[in-house]
Formats: sequence, C-alpha cells, structure tokens
Amino acid sequence: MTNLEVDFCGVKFRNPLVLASGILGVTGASFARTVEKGAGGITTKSIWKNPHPGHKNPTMFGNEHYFMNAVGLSDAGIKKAVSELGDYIPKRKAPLIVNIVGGKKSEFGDIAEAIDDLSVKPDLLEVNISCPNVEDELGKPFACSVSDAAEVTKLVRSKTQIPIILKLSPNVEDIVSIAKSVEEAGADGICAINTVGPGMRWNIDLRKPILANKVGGVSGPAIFPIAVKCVYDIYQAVKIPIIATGGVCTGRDALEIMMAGGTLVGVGTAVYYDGDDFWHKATDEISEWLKKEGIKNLSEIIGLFHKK
Amino acid sequence: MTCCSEHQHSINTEPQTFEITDFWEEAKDIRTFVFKGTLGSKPGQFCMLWIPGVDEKPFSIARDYDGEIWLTICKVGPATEKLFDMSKGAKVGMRGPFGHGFTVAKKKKIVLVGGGYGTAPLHFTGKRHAENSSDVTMIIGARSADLLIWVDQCEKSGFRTLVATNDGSRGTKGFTTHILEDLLKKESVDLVQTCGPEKMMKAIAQMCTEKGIECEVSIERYMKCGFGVCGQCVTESGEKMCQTGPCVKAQKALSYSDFGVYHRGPEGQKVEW
Ligand SMILES: Cc1cc2nc3c(=O)[nH]c(=O)nc-3n(C[C@H](O)[C@H](O)[C@H](O)COP(=O)(O)O)c2cc1C
Repeated sequence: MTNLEVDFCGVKFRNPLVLASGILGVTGASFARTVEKGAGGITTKSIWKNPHPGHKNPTMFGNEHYFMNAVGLSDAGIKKAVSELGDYIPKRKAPLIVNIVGGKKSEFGDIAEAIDDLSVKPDLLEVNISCPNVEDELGKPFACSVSDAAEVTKLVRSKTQIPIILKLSPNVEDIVSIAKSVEEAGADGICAINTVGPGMRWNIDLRKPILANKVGGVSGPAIFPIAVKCVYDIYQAVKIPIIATGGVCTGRDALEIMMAGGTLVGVGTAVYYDGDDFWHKATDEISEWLKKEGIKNLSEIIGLFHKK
Repeated sequence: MTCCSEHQHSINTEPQTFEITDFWEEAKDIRTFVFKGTLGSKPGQFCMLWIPGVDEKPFSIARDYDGEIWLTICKVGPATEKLFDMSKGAKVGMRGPFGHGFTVAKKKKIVLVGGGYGTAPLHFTGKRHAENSSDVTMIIGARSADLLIWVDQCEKSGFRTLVATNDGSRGTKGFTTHILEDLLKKESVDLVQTCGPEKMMKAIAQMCTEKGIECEVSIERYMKCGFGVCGQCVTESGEKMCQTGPCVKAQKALSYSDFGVYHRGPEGQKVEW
C-alpha cells in the first residue's frame, strides 16, 4: 500500500490534492461534495469583509490550452461566510483552508480576526494578495511589493493563531524575494501561484474583449511550466512549505510539481477539463506511479529535484 | 501533457458569433429571437447568450433545428433591454449547449407543464416526444391571458393544449397544478416534465411522486460560467445545476433541501423564492 498522506503546518491531508480557491468554492455543500469525490482538502473562494459584487459576465472561458477568468472576487462578505463556515467546519471530512482578501491592508486583519472568532476554526488561513483581475479597482496586488506583502503578513499574523499561507503572484520580477519577505514576516506557508497575466482575448466578429473586465488571469495547462519554475525557485529559498498551484491537470503533473518543491498541490482549472472525476483519476495515477517506483510514502518525493 | 477526457461541455467555451435573423413578440416584454446556425442542443438544455458590452446570461433553448436557434426571452434587466433594442442582422455571442436536458424516451402519454416563461423550452421538448410517437399534452399557465406564450405553436403542432390563468382571462381560472391534478385523476400518464416557477414545480413533483408517476423538473439557479467551474449553481446536495441539471428527476429535486425554498444570488447569498 502506498501512503499519500502529507503533513502541512501540522495539518494532516489524506492526499496532497487540494481544491484551489475560486473554483466551486461558494458553498459548504460544494466543499463536502468535492471531498466525497476524493479531494484531499478544500480552499474556499476569497472572502471579503463586506459584500463584493464581482465583474459582469462573461467572467471565464477555456480552450484546450488555457483558461481565463475575471470573476472579480464576488463574495457576500464575512457575515455570510461565518454562517456558511460555522455550519461546514464542524462536519468537515478533510482539512479546510479559508482564503481571505481585502482592498485595504486593514481589511485583511479584520477578516482574519472574524475567522479566528469562529468556535470551530478552519485548519489553515490563506491570504490572497495576488489577484490580477481587480487592478482597476484595487491597484497593483500587494504580492507585487516586498514591503506590502510583508506588512499584510505581519498584520494577519497578529490577529490569529491559525497557520497562515500567503498566496503569491507569478506576475513579478522576483517571486523569490517576495517569498522570503513573507516568511520573515511570519508566514507559515506559501501558495504559488495565482493566475498569470493578466491576459486579454477578443472576439474578432464583435470587436469586443471576451471577458467583460477586458483582462483576466490565465490558468490551466499553459501556465504549468511557469508554476513549476516558481515553486522550484521558492523551495530553494525558504523553509516553509508550499501549496504548489498552477496548471496541474494530471497525477503526473502533481508528482512533478511536488518534486519541484510542493508539499500540497492546488488544483483549479483541471475541474474544467475533468469535472469531479479529476480527484480519483489523479490519486490513482499517483498511487500507481509510486508503486511502480517502489516508493512507499508520497511525502518522500517533496523537493526531490533539489537532492543531488 | 494530456489534460482532457470525457467532459460535459465542449473543450472550447469561447463564445461563438451568431446573427439575429428574426424576432417577434410573444407577449408583453417577451420576444422570441431567431439566430442562424445550430448548437446541436437537446430539449431542456441551455446556452449562455452574450450581449457584447453589457452582460451574458443563461437561457433555455426554445428550438434548435432546421438551421435555426430560437430563444424566448423576457425583458428583465440591462442585458435583455439591450437585446430588445437590437435589430435583425445584429451579432451576439453564444456558447453551449450546456447542462442535462429532459429525457426523451418512448413513452405512451406525456404531459408537459409550463409556467410563465418557463414554457419556452417545452414546445421543443414536445416536438421530440412527438417524433417518438408519444401522445403529448401541454399545460401552459400564466398570470393572465396577455402573458401566455407558445400556446398557438403548441396547438399548431397538434399537442393537446390546456391553459390556466390566475385571473381566468383565458382557459381555466387557477393554476396549472389544478389542471394536472384533474387530468391525473382521469388519465393514465407515463411521464410529466415541467419548467416554471420553483414552487409550482415542487407541487408537481410531489403530486407525481405520490402517485408514482415519473416526473422531471427544470431547476433554474444563478449561473456564472454554465460549465461546472464557478460553483454558483450548486444545490444543497452539492450538485451543479449547470451539469447535473437543469433537468433532474422529481425525487432527486425533492431531496434537495433548497428546492422550492431558496436559491443563491450573484455573491452566493441565499435568496428565498
Ligand atoms: C474561475 C477562477 C476563479 C478564481 N478565484 C480565485 C479566488 O477567489 N481567490 C484566489 O486566491 N485565487 C483564485 N483563482 C486562482 C486559482 O486559485 C489558482 O491559483 C489558479 O487558477 C492557478 O491554478 P489552476 O491552473 O489549477 O487553475 C481563481 C481561478 C479561477 C480559474
């Protein structure tokens, strides 16, 4: 028997594949279903302090190479989240990562505090400082500046004992320096990467951008090489564990990005291609590969590419 | 890297361009629009219609054959207002078909029940049943005669067509559920399919389940993507209505604790029906 368990900041995951933020993450019923289908853990959609409307449709589309979205972080705010999470967390059958977002830095602190007040707390708190499709509204993401990223980390750190994970952007000159700064500021883990770009696509007959927001983050197969490189570089530079995310579509992809340095593997767009079947297909593929290689514990392969 | 296996939607979900070739009024603020082309839809499925520069919304498909797609649309917000201002020859974006449609199988006697603009996909459904030599009865309801849609086309297609209006301005005074209840007392029916207000569908689902009659309902939920990614249309069972639905078996729908009670708005908040 191969063992797919991994430990992330002291939290046990039965397998390393976690649903990435923003995909199917609106309701507790959705989380429960995704766990039932085989996900090792769940990340919620980004939660705001106050209700936030998001962009008009079209908000997303995909093709065989990539996926684009500009949902614009729609959310009903912390009140709805607290009631939804209050119901779900005590019943959860796999770890829950709550993802939070804010416009001003102080909002990150406020939401972290509200989440920390829950009678049953989530397992991990993920801090989204890297969404590329709300720049018109919020300006450059905090994940684009060493000092902003560190400031948000310190603030969230001061508000909760829950392990915190900072979600980083690939759309920066030097993701490694950002990773180091959040580690120093007290982050317990890193999630890399958020979507790439933003990018832009048009309908030539209508002469209109396809996404109502004109630009949107790119995810899916096309960004996998970028994600692997980011994870590889960050792993070398920090000691805290990484949720390796971006373009993972198969069990082999998951193995590759774990060997590059991921402890957990975030999966979003693969749901577009494979639906709920993704989870079992991927874990089966991982188990078979491990068996063939004679590896008993999946956790042995984390960062394997760096060992010489 | 391979990335794609069986999926319920085409792998490419970029909107395709379609031209409006015709339209007419069905009732006040309700029009049927004709687009040249096909999506290859089955009855009960839906598409996303993109009004460039405004918004994109889901619509059930009123017809998709003979090189034409028909959508029967009620003017309710900015996107549909813009659509109602468009002329023949104007271009829009469309993607789909999405979702699980109504079952079309060899059944002797089938009753289709439409309420309000929920009637839109039922003529298409009836047409497919008729091709299967099923005997089709339509029950169509609206608040008043001027809001009834698709009645004439159903009659023309040879479906027995029974009408209910709340104010009695046409057909039976009352609800579609009253007509159905009477009909089920007198006749033996093999399948009931319904699309309309959720409370009406819930009553029909309960009625049929009690009598042991096969029944399907079409569950409408707020949708962003239409293809199983955003999670906006998930019921309390955890199922995505854009893929498992919109058309589901009555027993399944009745097991959803939100069915006929509430749905979710654009930010995921609960909204009572
Ligand atoms: C439709 C969609 C919505 C997303 N929403 C969020 C979000 O609310 N918060 C967030 O931190 N990331 C969000 N993301 C980014 C993903 O969590 C993930 O980092 C990215 O898509 C790369 O992974 P993938 O290629 O597996 O999708 C979203 C991605 C998609 C495709």
